[in-house]
Amino acid sequence: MIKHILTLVWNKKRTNMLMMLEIFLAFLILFSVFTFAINFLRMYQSPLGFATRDALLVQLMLDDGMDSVAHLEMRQQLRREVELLPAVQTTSFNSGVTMFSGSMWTTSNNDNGFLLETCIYHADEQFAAAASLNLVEGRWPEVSDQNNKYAPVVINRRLREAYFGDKPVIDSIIMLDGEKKIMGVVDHFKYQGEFETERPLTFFFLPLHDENLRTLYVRLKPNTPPEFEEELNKTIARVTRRRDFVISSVDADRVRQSRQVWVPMITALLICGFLILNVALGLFGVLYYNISKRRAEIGLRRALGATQGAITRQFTAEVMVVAAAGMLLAILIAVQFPLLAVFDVPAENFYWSILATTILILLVVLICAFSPSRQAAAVQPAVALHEE
Amino acid sequence: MFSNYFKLALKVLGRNKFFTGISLFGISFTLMILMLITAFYDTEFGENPPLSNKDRLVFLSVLKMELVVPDTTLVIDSVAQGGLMAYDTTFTYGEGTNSVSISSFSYYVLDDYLREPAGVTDYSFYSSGQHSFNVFLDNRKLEVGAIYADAAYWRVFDFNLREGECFSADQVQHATPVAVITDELARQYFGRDSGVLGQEVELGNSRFKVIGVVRRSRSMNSMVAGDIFLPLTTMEGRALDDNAYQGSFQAAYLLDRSAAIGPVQAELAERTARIPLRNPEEYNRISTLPMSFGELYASRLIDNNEPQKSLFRMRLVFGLLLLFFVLLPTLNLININISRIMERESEIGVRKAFGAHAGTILYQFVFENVIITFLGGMIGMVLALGLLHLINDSQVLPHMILRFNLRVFAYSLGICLLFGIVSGWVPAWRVSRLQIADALKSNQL
Repeated sequence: MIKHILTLVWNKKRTNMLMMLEIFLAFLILFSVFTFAINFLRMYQSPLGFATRDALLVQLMLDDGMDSVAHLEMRQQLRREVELLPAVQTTSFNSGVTMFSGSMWTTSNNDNGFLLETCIYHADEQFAAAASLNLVEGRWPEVSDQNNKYAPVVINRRLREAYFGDKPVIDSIIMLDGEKKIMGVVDHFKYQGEFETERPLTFFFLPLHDENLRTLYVRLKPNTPPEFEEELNKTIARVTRRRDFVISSVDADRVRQSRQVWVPMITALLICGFLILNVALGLFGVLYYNISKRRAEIGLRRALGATQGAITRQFTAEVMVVAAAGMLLAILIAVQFPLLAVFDVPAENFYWSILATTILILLVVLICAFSPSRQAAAVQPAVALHEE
Repeated sequence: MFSNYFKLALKVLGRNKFFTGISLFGISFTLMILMLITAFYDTEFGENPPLSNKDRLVFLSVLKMELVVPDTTLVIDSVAQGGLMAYDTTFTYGEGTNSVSISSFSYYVLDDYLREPAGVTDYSFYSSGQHSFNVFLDNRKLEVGAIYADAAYWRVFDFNLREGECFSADQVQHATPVAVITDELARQYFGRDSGVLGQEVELGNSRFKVIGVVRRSRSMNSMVAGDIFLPLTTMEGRALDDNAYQGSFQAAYLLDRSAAIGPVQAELAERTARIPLRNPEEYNRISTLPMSFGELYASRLIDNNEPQKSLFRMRLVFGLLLLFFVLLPTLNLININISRIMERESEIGVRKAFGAHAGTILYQFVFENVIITFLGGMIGMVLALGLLHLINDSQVLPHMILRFNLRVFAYSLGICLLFGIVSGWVPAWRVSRLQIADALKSNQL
């Protein structure tokens, strides 16, 4: 049966060649777009780990030449006055490297006997409460911990799993810019953006007089109207005596940043959808025409006793052989990507993408082939042979 | 004769509605997307104001400072020779980079070392993309992006001035609080886009008098995509007096019409490399990469030490993507066209029997195909216009306004023609070579 169909396909190789080429190309295009989409969607699955709704971020502008007492007093006053506003729940000072800011602070060293690479996030003692971080172990440090022998740090679970495995980490001392004591482990913290892989991360604590604390994270009560920003604006302008600071909504920042991935991804998927529809319609038309030209052959087979099912199967199988040849060729090329590891994309994403593309194309080809084949099978032998 | 072909083409289209429908669908959607891409390309790379002179511009955007130390690599090779171990030691003298700092220029560096290179008509120092202000207007919040510039900025970038004037060298020198705003900001701030001259805009700690209104740049290029333009002397803080090397400034040089871009880039790079460094223990090498507009654009997408390579790679990637995208519908169309034309085998047989040349038949079918393509192109254009409207309205691409102008129209016509010929040629060629006897045999006329 298979051998017979292969002969049939081979006999019409010129017509089938074009069809095969089309399937081959369609596979490669779908494969690249699916890899792109699967790669980003898998990153999107892991949670951010902090609250973006009802939160504002203020990029403070501070006068040069303030000493640490002035810094401390200004921040204390700012915190007092902002937290007095009825819509505000809590506030927390961060450094300039904040969520969705596009900047990242990383460090690496060999001092622990292995290569430790981690992102660094600076915050004050109220950050866990303000941003609703989920601590899976230990606790978030308090102001009094800053005077301990070892400066406190909190790590994320990704760092714990990458470097410490199952060993207990709470109260361990690690070498990271000096000796630091791990006080807690945060479930997730993916501040770079939704479409990023979570990296090992360490929270450092800065006292309020540190001049690097240039951002204020303000957590609002639920359903605060956007007009509140103006009130906050006035308060900050009064305390810092400057007006060139910028307030942004954390959720709006998230949406704006994610849109840079959503827009191209959805565009690419829509274009792919159109291409597939185009190919499907074309395939359908061509098959319809090819099969209608073979009415005589079908009539003869029917007259000799072939069932309708046998004929449907034959034509569908013919198309599937052509499609399979095109797909096989394309898969051979596609598997080179994970094997050669050209791109910085996890290999399994490529395999998922190959699987998804194969299923989709098989489905499309099957649907396109089935209907003309059914039509062909419905041919009455007497009519078909009479025409001839 | 052509009118004959034309009539024939329309008749054929009407005959097999299913195939016609499939063809038109494929053609119109493909062309629609190609037209959208063309519109996008024209907005970002076309010669539109304020970047009409983009081919004559050289940009300085990044100043790189490095601490480079001599680095010796010692390699010991061991080989077994006659049962004894022999060692071969080689030293490679190279250099290692201990620390790098990459940022824009300070005004001081540009002002002191990078004025007036040879072959340049005009040049401007400006600070863009880093200054954003919140403005609260009766419960509305505006985010205003400011560009601080000198007076030459207006000669290097040819903004469409809608009313008033741009600030002069005198106003820049005296730090006069004046502003040129975009029509978009005028609409948002004052509720109207004309007659706002002399009004005041309050930004940060100061108030600026509006002296001119320009049309907002349609592209997203940061050197021109601002809402408000202010004299650079009015910058907050001590940005101008600071004598650090790095800051927030960039420079654009407008070449003479006859000047080549290469020598200017080389001179700027060389002059930057010669800037004396105050503290060689911190950084002992200073360098920059003067870039053309295309190179600047590409280097933001593909990071590379050589901007020319970035540009080449960007073109390669986009070219390949486009090729792949066009190839599939074309193949599909060829496939359909073969079926369509083969249905008319008998017609061809008769025409050939009466003496038509293979060439005549070839041209007839290509011509027919071009007609279908243009028909599809028209549908595609209508769809593209609708989609452009939708994209601009929904602000999917913030601040970017895609337009369908004459140039885009011309590109689209070219695309249609090419597409029609390519997808018609193969089937027409195949059919024109049919043997008369084969074509007439077994076909019901």
